[in-house]
Amino acid sequence: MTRKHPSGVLFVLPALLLLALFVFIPLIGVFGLSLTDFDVYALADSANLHLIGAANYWHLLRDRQAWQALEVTLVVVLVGVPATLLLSLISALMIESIAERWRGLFRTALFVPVVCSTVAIAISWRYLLNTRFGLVNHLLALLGLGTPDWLGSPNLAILAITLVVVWKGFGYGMIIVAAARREIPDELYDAARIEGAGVRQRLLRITVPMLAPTLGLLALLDVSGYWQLFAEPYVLTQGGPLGSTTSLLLLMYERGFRWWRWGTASAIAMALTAVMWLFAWVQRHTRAGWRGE
Amino acid sequence: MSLRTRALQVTTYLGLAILAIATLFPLLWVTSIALMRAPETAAGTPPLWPHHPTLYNVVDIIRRQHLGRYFFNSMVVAAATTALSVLVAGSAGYALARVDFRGRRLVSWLVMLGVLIPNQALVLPLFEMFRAVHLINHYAALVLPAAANPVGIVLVQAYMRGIPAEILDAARIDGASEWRIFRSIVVPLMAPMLAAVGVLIFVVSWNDFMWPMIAMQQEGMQTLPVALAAIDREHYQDIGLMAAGATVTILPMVLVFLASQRYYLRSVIAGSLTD
Repeated sequence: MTRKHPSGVLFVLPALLLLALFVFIPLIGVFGLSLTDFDVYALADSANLHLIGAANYWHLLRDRQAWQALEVTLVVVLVGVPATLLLSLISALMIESIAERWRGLFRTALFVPVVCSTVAIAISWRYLLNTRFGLVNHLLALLGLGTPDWLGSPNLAILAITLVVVWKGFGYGMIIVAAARREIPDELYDAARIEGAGVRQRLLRITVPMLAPTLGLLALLDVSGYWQLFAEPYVLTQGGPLGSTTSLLLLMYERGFRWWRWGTASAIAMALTAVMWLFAWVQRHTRAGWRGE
Repeated sequence: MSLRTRALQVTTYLGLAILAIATLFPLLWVTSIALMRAPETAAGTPPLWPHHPTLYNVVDIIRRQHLGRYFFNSMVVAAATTALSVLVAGSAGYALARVDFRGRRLVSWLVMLGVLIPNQALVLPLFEMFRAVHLINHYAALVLPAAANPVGIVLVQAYMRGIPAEILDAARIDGASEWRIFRSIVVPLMAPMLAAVGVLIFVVSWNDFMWPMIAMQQEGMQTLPVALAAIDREHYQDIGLMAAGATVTILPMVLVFLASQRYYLRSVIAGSLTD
């Protein structure tokens, strides 16, 4: 039971104040800015600032760089999220199936990249993927395979960045899936075993369906994380070659803080936010579907 | 044990070992390079292990690039952000779960909405706001926005819902004030979750990049990742130097994680159960 108590407001007041100042007001601010032609001239003299309605959005629709950034970000999400989910799932199931005393060790080892600074990780991977002295190509050469220019060719660079993102991210999901796997009652597996279900059947008929809601939530977490891709391309490729790794946020940053074109930059930020809400909405509704089963 | 089960088991251990090597090896390699000197790092692929381990690169990047200063900035910002966030999330999470007040549902809803707003999309107006009050290049520019963390509130709120309300009601009947109840009963009860949220926020704050890069433009005020990215633009060919910088940035958080793993992983798991 909870009691009516007016002092409750005082407990939430600091949080409310911070959220209002640094989340909600800035959100309204971004929307407002996206309707203006705020640029370096307006920065110098606010007389140069005009409301221009949805013009920034119309311009974005015809902006080739914006479309390319959307494509880049979508590739990272569409390739990276399924790869991450699969790795999270497989590693979690493997960890939960081995002897208890070894679990902690592997859990720690696979989780460590999650707590590492993205900038530092990106610097490290740039050396690993270096064509001249990188270890990855060194290994590939030893195996007699080709030694591609990972960060120098447009098609490979985006995949290399996706690889780094997945490498850094899957340990997070592993912890969550492993916790959900422990919640599945053993009786289900015992009953299935008595019915004669093999390893594969138990995996596909019990484990995966029981984990589906968790995987669904994890998908949203991964999508919203990868959708905000920034530091990896900023450090690894600076958005290149030929803009092939410029994500939406990197484009927003460049337009905003290199060219001071805040109107378009804000429109990009709004589009980014809107798509994330769309992801959340879709996820919520598919989950409701699962619950209804 | 049947042969098939046995084979499956061996494959599992093998698979995990490969994954563990894949995650740890890049980190160990960079640490190893940080301990090497010129002939080893200059030509071709560096050896896996430094033949004459030396702290030369670490000392070099601390001396020439003033890494100590940035390390200090990161420590101050992460510690202040953690302290403030835990305080804010602790009191708000408690009240949203266990105190009935007017507007509670609205506040809960606002917090949930906050979770869905990508904070990196807000940097443009944030920059204008902090510029207007002359707080760009101040620690406050990093601490205050980071403390507006709806995830922490949601975690504490969910944790408090799991604690029986009777404990609090008994104290209320005894006539204790809400503040006393919070301080002497609630805080000890939710201490494990506060620790979990604290470690999570400390690590996130330490690693944060985009907003700190925008808000800290004055020489000497940058945090470690921001300074590292800036040094990298100039010295990326000095592999030993950059490897030392990456190691100095990564290592503290790995140690924090190893020391507080129990709490850290709890916050990760709790975060997936909250709605």
